[in-house]
Amino acid sequence: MAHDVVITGIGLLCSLASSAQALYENVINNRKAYRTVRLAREPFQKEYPASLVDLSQVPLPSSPNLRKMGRASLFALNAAQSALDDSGLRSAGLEETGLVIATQSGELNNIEQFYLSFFNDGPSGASPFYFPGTVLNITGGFVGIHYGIKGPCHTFSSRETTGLEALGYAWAAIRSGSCHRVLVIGTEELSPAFMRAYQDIGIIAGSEDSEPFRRAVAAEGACALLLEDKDSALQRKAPVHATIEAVSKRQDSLSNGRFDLLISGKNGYGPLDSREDAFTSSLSIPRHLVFKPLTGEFFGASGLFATALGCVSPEGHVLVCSCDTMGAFSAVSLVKP
Amino acid sequence: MTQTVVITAADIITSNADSYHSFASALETGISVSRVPSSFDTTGLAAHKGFFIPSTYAPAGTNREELDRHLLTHLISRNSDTLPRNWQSADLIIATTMGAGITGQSLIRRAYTCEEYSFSREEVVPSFSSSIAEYMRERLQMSGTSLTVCDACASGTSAIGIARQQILAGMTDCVIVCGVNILFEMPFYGFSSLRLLAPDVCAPFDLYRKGLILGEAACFLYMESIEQAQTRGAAILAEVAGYGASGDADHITAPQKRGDGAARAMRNALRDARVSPDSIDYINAHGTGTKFNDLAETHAIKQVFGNQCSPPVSSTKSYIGHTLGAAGITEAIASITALNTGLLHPTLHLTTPDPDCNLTHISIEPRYQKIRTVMSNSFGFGGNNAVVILKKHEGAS
Repeated sequence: MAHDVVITGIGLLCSLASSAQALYENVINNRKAYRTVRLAREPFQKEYPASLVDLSQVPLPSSPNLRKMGRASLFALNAAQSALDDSGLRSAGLEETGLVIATQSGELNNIEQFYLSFFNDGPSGASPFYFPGTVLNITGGFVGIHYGIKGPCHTFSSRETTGLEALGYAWAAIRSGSCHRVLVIGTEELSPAFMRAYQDIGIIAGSEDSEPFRRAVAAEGACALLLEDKDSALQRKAPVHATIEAVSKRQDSLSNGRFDLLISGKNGYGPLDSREDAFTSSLSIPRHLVFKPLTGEFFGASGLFATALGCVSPEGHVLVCSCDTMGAFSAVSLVKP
Repeated sequence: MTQTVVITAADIITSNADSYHSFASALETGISVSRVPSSFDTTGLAAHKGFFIPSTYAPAGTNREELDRHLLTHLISRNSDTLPRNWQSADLIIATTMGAGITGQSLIRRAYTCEEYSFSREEVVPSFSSSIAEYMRERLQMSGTSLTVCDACASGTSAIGIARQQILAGMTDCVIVCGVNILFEMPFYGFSSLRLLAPDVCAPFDLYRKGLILGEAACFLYMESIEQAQTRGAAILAEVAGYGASGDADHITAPQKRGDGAARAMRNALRDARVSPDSIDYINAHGTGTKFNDLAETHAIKQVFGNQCSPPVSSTKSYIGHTLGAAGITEAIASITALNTGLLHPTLHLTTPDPDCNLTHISIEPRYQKIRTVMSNSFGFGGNNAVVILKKHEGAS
């Protein structure tokens, strides 16, 4: 028999907010997260509208591995702590918990630093300090080590739909009974080469663009959701933010639902926005929350940010939608208690 | 919903083979070919060798930057006649560690050296891990969903396990699971910087082993429900009987010394397959040839199977090197050949078994033995552990 899956913990970190409720309030009050930033690394310095996290203002748990962690892993650690605190779960009870990381690019700045180490100094100059950060599952490793998470651990890497793909995996794992609890974390950081390349091909806005942007604004941050088997959650009197009714990557599977709210994945980039419109135009959903023009595009983490917003919105039946620039699609249906 | 997931097609290209059958033959005859790379510099490194796919195995005109996606597309295309008619609606799971690394490396190099350069879509889009799946879906006109799994060296086995879970859950009828690894500067220099590369041979579990040798591979498995396979009269290569995964929660690159996490993954797989350790006829080890991995894996196997006598064990990496994200799938294919031919390949170069790795090794010469159940292990950076159990299906060819 399939188990019901609930979300019992939400944690997030971005420049606009460090809680789902604060993020929702800022979004509905039209507050923007981004400003013009200069990603300063020689030999080029360019300016972009972007949403960067100021790590100096972020409380981080104490960890012997902290100095090895790239920004994406630090964001993930902060978001995970918030989600666990929110769920009332002590770290001592996490051994059997699963862990899924969603990221498009991983520790981008460490990846670039590793490349620079041998671009500059030849093969033997390659840095052993930065090399582990080039493997995308490193964030899962750091989070698993910090919290003693010893259940199945996976890292998925696609584009904007990755977050909901990770959520879908965790949902299916709990429904089947193979896990009782999974921590799902989406995390993304920005780097000079990434920003430059994405701006050159017109996906993100650059300093020459003026508002309203016809492209996405890049954002970094992390969002963590703790998913549990409903019976276990109720047994330990955990807060239940929402029940995940369904997750799907097929556009026809959720088209019969009656939803009160759509959390949109539109980010201002025309081809992506058109894809979502093609799916949602046939659904009669009375309210749409389009958050990315305010928060920025979190890429692999964005589906989890969207789900967090869906959890704290007042509506009872929420559809969270995510399309990517290459045609992939993912959606999740939430039901509030 | 089905209770049984099977593999009905498989193909592979490696440094020693350009097909499934030539791979099986190479495992029997001991063919293993490593060489110094011709496409990048290894000056100043302690180790220079890798297991590279010969250029003659790739479609004509393929450049190295696109080799990963071209090889996988080529493999699927040349098997399309033997796949089911609706194979293009199958879901696609790509297992990779470095993903689209060569194109990403080129992009970063250009970004930092050419201030006035303007990037094109053709350069940027392929630089992400998911671009392999995107390329394949477009070229092969595949309409199913796709997923890119990046669990380091456990990616391949994780991908098999995830596909199995999705089919059992009724989320999909069939999955094409692909693994690919193409060597370039980044992984080579990176593993060298961690002093993990062997300068001469890969000799897993040997007392004098000096490390791993990296390898290239492209491979796929077609997985589906047994009902679907039987309806169309497909030959069943193996049953994916069980899958187990765990995290070490110990160290970011080294395995947990006692092998506790790995043992947990093995036990989870046995439980999932509903078999006891006694049922395992052969273990295809992760067996990288590094001091720490081989020792940790030995401890893990002993925890699960007892101290006295393990099932026969060998490492495919001694033939084709460590193919990183593709390793789990190459080793599943080696396990499938073992199930169907009774040939258990040896661990090459295992001439002086390490007394601390005292397992039942198959070394030097192959062993011929009818087997029914194989365990295949994969353990990766970040403490990712994944284990799959494959069974011979009654009536399998």
